[in-house]
Amino acid sequence: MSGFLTYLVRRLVAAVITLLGVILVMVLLVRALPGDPARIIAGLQATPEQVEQVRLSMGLDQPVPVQYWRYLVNLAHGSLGTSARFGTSVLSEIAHRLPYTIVLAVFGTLFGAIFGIALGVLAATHKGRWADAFGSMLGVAGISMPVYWLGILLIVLFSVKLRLLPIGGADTLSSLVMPTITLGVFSMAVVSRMTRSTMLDTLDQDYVRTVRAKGVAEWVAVRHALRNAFIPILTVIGLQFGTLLGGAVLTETVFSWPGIGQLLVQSINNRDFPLVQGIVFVFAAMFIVLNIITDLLYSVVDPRVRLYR
Amino acid sequence: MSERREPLLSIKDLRVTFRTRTESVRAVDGVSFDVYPGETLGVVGESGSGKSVTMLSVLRLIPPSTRVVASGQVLFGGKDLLQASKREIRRIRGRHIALIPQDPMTCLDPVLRVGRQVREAIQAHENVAAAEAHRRGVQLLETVGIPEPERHYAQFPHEYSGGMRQRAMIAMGMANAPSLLIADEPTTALDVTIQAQIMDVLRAAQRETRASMVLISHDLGLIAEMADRVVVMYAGHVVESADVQTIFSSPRHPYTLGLIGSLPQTTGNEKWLRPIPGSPPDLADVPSGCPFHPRCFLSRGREICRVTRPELRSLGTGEHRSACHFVAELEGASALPAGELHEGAGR
Ligand SMILES: Nc1ncnc2c1ncn2[C@@H]1O[C@H](COP(=O)(O)OP(=O)(O)OP(=O)(O)O)[C@@H](O)[C@H]1O
Ligand code: SF4
Ligand SMILES: [Mg+2]
Repeated sequence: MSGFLTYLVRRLVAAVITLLGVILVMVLLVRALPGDPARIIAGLQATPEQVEQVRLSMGLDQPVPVQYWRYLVNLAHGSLGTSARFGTSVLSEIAHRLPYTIVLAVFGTLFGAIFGIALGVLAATHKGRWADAFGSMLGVAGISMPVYWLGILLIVLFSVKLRLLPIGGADTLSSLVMPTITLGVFSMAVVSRMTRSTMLDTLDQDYVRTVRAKGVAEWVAVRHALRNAFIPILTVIGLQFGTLLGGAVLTETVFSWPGIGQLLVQSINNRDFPLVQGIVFVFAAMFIVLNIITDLLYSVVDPRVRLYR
Repeated sequence: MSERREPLLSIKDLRVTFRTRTESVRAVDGVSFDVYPGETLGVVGESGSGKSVTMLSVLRLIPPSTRVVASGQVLFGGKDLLQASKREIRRIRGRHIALIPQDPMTCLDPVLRVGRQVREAIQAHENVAAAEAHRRGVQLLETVGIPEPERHYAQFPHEYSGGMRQRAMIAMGMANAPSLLIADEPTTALDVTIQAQIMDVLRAAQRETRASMVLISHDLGLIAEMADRVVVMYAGHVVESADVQTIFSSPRHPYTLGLIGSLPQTTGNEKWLRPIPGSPPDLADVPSGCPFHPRCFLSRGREICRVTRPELRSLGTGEHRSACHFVAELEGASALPAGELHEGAGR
């Protein structure tokens, strides 16, 4: 187990270095804004005093290394700064909204994984027949359909015409249905493609022939093939979860889902840079953690995978 | 084995063709032979001659994604396996006919413990509780000579050596005491030192289950040692069949002569090797007439070899059959007695 701990520490150190880079880029980006960042943030109507106020409070009067250092010191004290717009702590703004986004991303991932794997298996076991054709049609549709368009389509159908589901918000469990579908359809398409192609390969492997030669039902052989196809499938699911965080920005806007995607759009409109920085930082951190979890899952799925030695 | 007995398995005019986008590969082209109860039938022939495809077709185990057409009959227990329903063929697989495949390295599911795979073979045909299946699985591993069977039962295939994997495959094959074992080059992928051990295990398994065996091999030494009868295949055809003594002492087909002649042998002090000239034909474009004619020393360009395909005909002496127009010219040809072959053949 100590090998495992070393591995974990190594991954975490790498994660911290990556995050340090992310923060540096964010600090530099604010500097790279044309004109006076303090004026941009304070707004055109702001008085010179207000602009100076912003400059001081955000430390924009300091050189970049000092700003960077301050951000890190703040972070070490568990603070992501203060929202320029609301005057509240960035962390608490994010903490309010984050659970909504996580719920949405988890549901979207589950939707994409379950339906994607099911469709992919169906297509692979019925290669060249109508189920395969239907699956690849859904796949192409899922990948090429813009989120906005799909979201509006669903709203028109289920909320306006059928009056089954609420248009937006997050008041009841049924509010989750359309955002989940909207968010999950893309990853469903990606996962089903990967599942199909990997399964076509594993279904032809000698060890699956061995299973069939035992005289078991075909679905048992399919199960063996699927288990062996899991590593690449898991990889795309992990990657999809990451892009889902990004997809959440659009979906949350369409369905006024109160997650951090929506918050990000608002704070960009408000030129609330501390809040934008905080959200980007949290996105990055989550993406990194997810990658580590996916890698850990490999070794659960495949006994040959040794993460450490 | 006596010819009077009812065959256990009877393959009649089997044809298997793979269709790809551009061509048709006739992997098996009119193969017929019988397997009798209790005997070991050796199937020999160069790589690509259709040995595996023939035997995989018996169990209908050609990969389902390939576009393949099979015709003919495979009679087993009064039933044509090519026509059997999916359910019927499933009941035959593993229970009455078991497959011990060519390459043990790729034939075990890499992500499942070996024990679980052995257990699956047991539970496929019998309603056995998990604990009982476990006990029998461990016992099977012990029977095939896997040390510390209880510990190895819980290990993954990658923790096994090649020889141990093949032992595990044999354990799975004999799990339901089938009446026919199909061993497809069971030792080719293994170390020379391991090969003899594995054959011993296989022989013991056969003895224990009193099964017939179809032993596919390139290795004529092994065939001489194990088989009762031999079928020689070339380019998807059976070109000669006879009991093992006859095949080695008086082969009656130029290809068989070539195979035996190409073995490394010791004559006096001199080692010599005489490979068959040329190489096996492309099965998408098999030569006209006798498929062996471009490589045949006997034909000497005679037209009939290029034009007419020779039938597999009985030579009148017992079960001996050969497919050659000029078989009479081989009268009196002899290779060497099977006994001598044992020492000569490099295994
Ligand atoms: N799935 C497949 N798709 C297309 N062609 C195939 C397939 N399997 C086998 N073949 C072709 O059928 C022919 C016979 O193959 P087969 O595996 O029976 O040969 P073999 O006698 O067992 O040879 P080896 O000694 O190398 O195992 C080969 O030419 C091979 O290319
Ligand atoms: S039929 Fe002709 S080509 Fe074929 S084996 Fe006999 S002699 Fe050779
Ligand atoms: Mg083969």
